[in-house]
Amino acid sequence: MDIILKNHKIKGKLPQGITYEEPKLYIQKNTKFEETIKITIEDDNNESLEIIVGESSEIKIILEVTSTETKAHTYHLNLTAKPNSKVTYLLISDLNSEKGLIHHTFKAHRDANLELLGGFVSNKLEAKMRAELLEENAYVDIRAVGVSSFGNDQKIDIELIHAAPHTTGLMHNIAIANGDGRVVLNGVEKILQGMVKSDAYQSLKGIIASDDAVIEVNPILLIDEHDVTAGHGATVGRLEEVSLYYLMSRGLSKKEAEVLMINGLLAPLINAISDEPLKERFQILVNERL
Amino acid sequence: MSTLIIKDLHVSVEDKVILNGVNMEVKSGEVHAIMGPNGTGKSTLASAIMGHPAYTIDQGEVLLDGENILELEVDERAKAGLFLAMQYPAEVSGVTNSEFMRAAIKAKNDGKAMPIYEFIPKYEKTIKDLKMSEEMAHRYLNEGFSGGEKKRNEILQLKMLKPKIGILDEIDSGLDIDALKVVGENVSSMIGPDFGCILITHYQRILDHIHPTHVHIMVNGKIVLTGTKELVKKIDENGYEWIKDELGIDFEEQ
Repeated sequence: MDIILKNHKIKGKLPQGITYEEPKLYIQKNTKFEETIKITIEDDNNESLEIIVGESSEIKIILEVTSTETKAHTYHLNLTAKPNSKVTYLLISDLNSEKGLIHHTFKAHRDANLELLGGFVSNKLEAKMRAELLEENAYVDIRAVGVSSFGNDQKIDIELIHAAPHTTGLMHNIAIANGDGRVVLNGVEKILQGMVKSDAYQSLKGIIASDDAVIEVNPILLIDEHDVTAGHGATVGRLEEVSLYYLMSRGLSKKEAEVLMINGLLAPLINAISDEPLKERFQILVNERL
Repeated sequence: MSTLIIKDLHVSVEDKVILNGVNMEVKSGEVHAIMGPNGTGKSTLASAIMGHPAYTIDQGEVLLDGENILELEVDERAKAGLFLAMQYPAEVSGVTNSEFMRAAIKAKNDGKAMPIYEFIPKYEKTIKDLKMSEEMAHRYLNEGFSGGEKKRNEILQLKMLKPKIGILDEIDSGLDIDALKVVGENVSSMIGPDFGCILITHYQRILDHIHPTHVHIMVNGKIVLTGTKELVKKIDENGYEWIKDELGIDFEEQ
């Protein structure tokens, strides 16, 4: 099921159970949407959208921000997950803009469960995915991948804010750069004071696939409460030369060997995606610029 | 019918000279065992022919059916028909054995993938031939494999890729007697008009299963003696010390 937005207007018909009042898209409550909903925001250079997922509803969404234009593009996006809703969400940013900006905020209410994926394959981009855990038992799992190739420069901030006790926030993010591409990946996890029994985890991984590529990863945990569990890990590494040699000795070209190895490193993140169509789309996307 | 000719090969690693002019000719149907004390350059020969980035060729040629493969990239050497079963195969996380195998076959067939209905039965049968467990196909490439599993996996790839010339670098280390027999018989069954191999080993035992047509002894980066299976027997009984007296060469086991 496709929803296409252009100049803040919906093109065509909306699927049943979904309504739009500019700039808000309402997903009705107590409904399980079996089919993945694909939302495309077409070539607008300044767009905003708010998605509200009703109480106890379950939905899978792919939101694509794509453009081949090189002028500046700015997007402000918002998703609110009402109590007890379940959202699987893939944000795709595939912009040729020379100045792209995407801010996507997610708000998780009581007992809401959010599986959020971000795929960033843009030319010049500043992206932020920020999830706020606003009420008890909210659960957010973010997995983001940024791939920069020749001439690409992406800065990706992934933030998780625990603003209620008994909340879980996990993030696993991977940055890959080849050619003379650059990715700056910042992971920020914040537990505010009094948000007891919160659980936070973040891992950041940087993969450098060529001599001129640049990767920067910054893991940041800001914890203002004692009674929590938190952990983090961050690594930056190159593709191992002996592994490349091994794969090449079986006939794979250097390029093919690199792509295979990078996909191997992405495998734990991708295999954990629960929805098949989302998984497939994500895999194709991150391979686009390898 | 293929021929691999190694001509006056000199190789160094980080400015340290390891090979001092190796000459050898291997044809399809032949098995050339290379034996010798530790640290004498046997594995260097294997790695240099395949194109390991750490090795520098100082002099010489390696011709596969007339083409100097030393001028080719590693993958091009593989596509030309060369295969090295490595002593220490790399572990590649997140890439399954079967996924890798399919990619390698595709690369070898100039980008043409083998249909999955053809690949699966063939791969499963080869796994069975090597008495490996079925789950092997789905495990990540060499990750967490025991020494023996890694060696079998090398032979599994060898059988699937069907090269013209194979170089087996200490494929017997880490294998118990039963595994040695399985691996030996599998390699042996490939020897013929389409396949010949170089077998680098310390022990006689693997040669009970893969019968060498030629036996070479390498010392100080050179082949100092070439003979037949009789030579293996002599080494098995007397070690390498006699070479010092007989050939007047001095060396130390490392």
